[in-house]
Order: sequence, then C-alpha cells, then structure tokens
Amino acid sequence: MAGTEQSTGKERVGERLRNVSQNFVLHIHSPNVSTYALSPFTTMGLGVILICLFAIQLATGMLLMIHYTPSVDAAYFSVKEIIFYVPGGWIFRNIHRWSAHALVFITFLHMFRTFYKGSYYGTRKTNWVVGVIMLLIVMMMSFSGYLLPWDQLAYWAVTIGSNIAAAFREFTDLIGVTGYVDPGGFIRKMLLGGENVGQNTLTRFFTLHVIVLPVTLLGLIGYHIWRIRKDGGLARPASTPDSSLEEIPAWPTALWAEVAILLSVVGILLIVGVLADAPLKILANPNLPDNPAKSPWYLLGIQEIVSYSAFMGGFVIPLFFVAFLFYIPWFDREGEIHSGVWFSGKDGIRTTSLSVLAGGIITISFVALSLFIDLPGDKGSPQYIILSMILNPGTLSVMAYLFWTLFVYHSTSSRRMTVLALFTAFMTGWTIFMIIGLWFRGENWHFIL
Amino acid sequence: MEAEEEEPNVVSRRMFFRHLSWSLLSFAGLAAVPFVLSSVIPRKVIENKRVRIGRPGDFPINRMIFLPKPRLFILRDHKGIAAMSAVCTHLGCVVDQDTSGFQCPCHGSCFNQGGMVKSGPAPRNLPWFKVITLPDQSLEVNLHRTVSPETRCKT
Repeated sequence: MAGTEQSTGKERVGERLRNVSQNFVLHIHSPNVSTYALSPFTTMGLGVILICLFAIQLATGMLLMIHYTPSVDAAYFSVKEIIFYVPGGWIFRNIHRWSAHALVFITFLHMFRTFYKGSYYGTRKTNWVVGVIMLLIVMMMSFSGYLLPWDQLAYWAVTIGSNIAAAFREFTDLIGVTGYVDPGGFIRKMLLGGENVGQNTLTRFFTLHVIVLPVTLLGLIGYHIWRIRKDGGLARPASTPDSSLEEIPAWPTALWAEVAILLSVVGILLIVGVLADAPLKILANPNLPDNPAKSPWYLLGIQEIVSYSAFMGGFVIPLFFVAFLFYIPWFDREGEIHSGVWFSGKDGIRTTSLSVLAGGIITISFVALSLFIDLPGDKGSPQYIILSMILNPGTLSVMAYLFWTLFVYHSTSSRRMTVLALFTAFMTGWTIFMIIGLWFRGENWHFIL
Repeated sequence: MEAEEEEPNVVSRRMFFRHLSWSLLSFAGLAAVPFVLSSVIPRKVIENKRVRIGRPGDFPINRMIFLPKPRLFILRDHKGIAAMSAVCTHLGCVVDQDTSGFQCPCHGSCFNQGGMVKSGPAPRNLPWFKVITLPDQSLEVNLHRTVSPETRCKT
C-alpha cells in the first residue's frame, strides 16, 4: 500500500504531516502509522467496522425517527407507514435492523480479538474497561430499540426482559422481605415507568434509545479512540520485525483503508437489506404471548439459563461474568510478553482449545442430564426453590467452569492461562445455551430436536 | 502552580478560593443528584387495583373464564366465585389454560387447576384474589388482597 508515492521525497511527506495535523477529521489519526498497524491481520479492521456501523445507525436512525411516533396507539402503524409508504423507508429500516445485529456481533468479535491478543496490559487497562462498558451500552441500545415497533415480539421480549431485571425478587421472596424491601421490583419499575409494559415504558425506551445511550456511546467512542493513541498505538508483540514497524504517513494510506472498509460495510448492508426484510409481527397483544416467546439472539443464552432459575440466570451469573470481564486486567498483569500475541503462543492455543472442549462438554452434559432428571421435592416450597437455584444446568455449568479454571491455574500457575480458560469456557457455554435457545426450544419452551 | 507555593503549610489565597470553588461545585452537584434521580422514579401510577368484573350470572358454573383486561381467571362453582391471576410468577407472561391446568408459553412453567406450580421455573403459585359483592350485586376483585385458593365469594 505504501509503495505508490514513496519517491516523492521529504518535502511531500512534510506537506502531508501538515495536512494531517491541521485537518480536524484527519487529526483523529496519529501523523504516522506503522505498517504493522495497517496490516489487515492485526485488528481485522473490527474497530473501524464498528465505527462505520455506528455511523450508519445514526444516519438511518434519524431518518426513521422523523416518521416514527412513540405512542402505544400509533407506534405500530407508524412503522408500517415507514415500510409501505415512506419512499425508501423499508430499506432504511432493514439496514437499521441488520446493522444493529451486526453491531452487537462485531462488538463481541472485537472483544475476542482484544482479549486473545492480550491488549489489556499496563495503561491499556482503561481502554479495556471502557470497552466492556461500551459492549453493555451497545446491548442496551439494541434491546431498547426492540420495543419501539410495538409488535408481539417487542412487547413480550420487553416483558420478559424487565422481569429478568426484577429477578432479585426471587431472593427477597425466599427470605420473605419483598413486602418491605424490593430492589428487584424497584429496578423493574424504573425501567417500565409503572407495573406493566405500557405508554410510560415506550416513552422511557424511546428516550434511552434515541438520546441517552447514543450520546453516551458517542462520548465513549471518542475516548476509546483517543486512548489508543495515549497507550502508544495498537498492542504489538515485542518480536515484531523492524521491517513491519516502518512508519508511513497516516494520510492517505490509513484513510483509504478506512474508506474501503466503510464502502464494503455499506455495500454488504445494502445487499442484505434488499434481500432480507426486518421482521415485524402482528400488533402487540398484552393477553397472548407468542409461543415460544424468544428474546433477540444475543440475550437467548441468558433466557435459556433464566428458564432454569430467574435469580441465578438473570442476576447472579450475568453479574458475575461482567464483574469478571472488568477484573481481567487487574488479575492478569503478566504484561508485555503476551501483548499483541495471538493466544500468547502455543501454550495459550492449547489452553484455549481445551477450554472450548471443557466448556462444551460441561454445558452439553448438564443440559442433557436436566432433560432426564427431575428434582425431587414439593414444587413451590422454599427448599425446592433453593435446590433448583443450585442444581440447574446454568449454575452447575458455571461452577464447573470455575473448577476447570482452578485446575488450569494450578497446573500452569499462569494468570494469563487462567483468564484464557475462564473466558473461553464461559463464552463457549454461553454460545451453546444460545444455540439451545435458538434451535432446540419449541412451544412452551419444551426441548425439541 | 508549584512556584507560587513557597511556604507549603500556608494555603495561598488563590488555592483557598480554588478549593472553595471546587467544594461548592461538587456540593451543588451532589445535592442535585437525589432530586434528579427522584424525578426519574415513576410517579404514582394510576392503576386501579379494584376491578369490577360483572355479575355472578355472567359466568358459567364450573368453568374458568379468562378476563383479558385485568388478566384474571374467574372460577364459579356451587360454593361461589373466585379469581386467580393469569400472570406467570416467573417472568410475567400470560398463562394458557389446558385440560390439566395452566401452562406458560414463555418458559414452560406448569400449574394445576388450583394454580399450584407443577413444574418449570416458576417460583410461586399463581395468587388468588379477594372477591366481594358490591351493593348492586356486581362483583369486584381486589388485586391487593390475596386469599387461599379455597376462598369463595358467596353469591
């Protein structure tokens, strides 16, 4: 890429540097980038793709917002109007929907890339933490957008989602204090603006979706990008050969690469948007849930473990996992030897693939067991509830992941291997629960093959 | 900044005002937090917890009739009238009636005819609510008062 204008000499380079430092848009980049950072295999462009997707979301979102009415009576019909009446409305809505899914999916890939390449050491801690917060915000944004069409999917997904937020109530019920202290119910009330999904909920979710979350995300994106430069650019292995550390002007090389990514993203979304329509079910009916009522795919793993126990699956396990994500850079400070190396080399590849295997076997066997064994006891009694909180595939799997992690810690005594093991086992299990929820749950949430 | 502080134990006027402004600013900010937060808490939502459901004669004997608006099942038998919630105690979906009792379509909780949990993730039985007869002979369900499944409102 850099070869085209090499011969133009120092004056030309100086001119470019001036361009970069005096132009607001170009100023996002450092004046020079290394060929290592420009190589497509370093980051696979995931961060740039995310920025492009977010920009597309803003643009299509504003177009949709002009025609959308956030009222219980009108919302569904205004979405219909967007699809059938507004010129080009259908394609904007399709792109908005698929781009939202892509945004969640690629945010996860981006996190995997950062994690497995060990880009969270030293000062990069901060950016890891900001990244985790942004992952949560992206998921909240996608979920809050889910309610807006006010169709069956929207209504019941949000009913279930908000009751998951109230899952702490199962615990306060158990110790019999819900009448006095009810944090679960309070959170749900804050989300819904009342006791049931209704106009207040729609208003709240609309505000979150179009103002609160995007503005927060925009600020965090700026900080995230600025931090990369503060942390000395992309994490790279100490063994990077000097030939790939050659510094070349960011403008135009890096900029062209980014424009190419933007064009590809827009192109792919256009094709997908023309070929596949975003779903819109019938108008929300508060008395008749869809059967089965499924949440969006990125929450299906949680819905599956929630179907075993609301308190463990909807509160304890997700909270534990998010806390673990935040804690990773403080637990594992083995530092620069792992920085920028995929899976930290051979040992890491072995740990990771064994963890995929362990996570898979653990999860599948506990789910399979649960299909054949019923817990004894009087359903609805406190003893039974406590038992079912612990002896269910979700909780047991997570405990088994922890045992696997302890085993890895003791046999390798490396903290990097330990986090690799827990993260990989967790993500494998989460994916399997998601697949079960997606393809193996039918009417009344019964297991189907 | 460092150069101004020649005597480290003496707070210069500039530093004093700087600390004062920051303290006042933080205090104002902190003081605003509870007010801002409390404005986000939903106001007292007007939801009628006492629902009129009609007259006893509206309900056939020995059947559970589903009422959509209050999300209730109304049972009338030879002893009287009773009302049971139709909202699953797991995650709030509306349960379906079938021959053996009730089933939740969302996560598969099963309840028997009396609303007791038979299987699935539901942590509690479906609650029964107090029913009273008003002076004009119409029935009213009080969604605040739960009663035992055997309780009937005599008609």
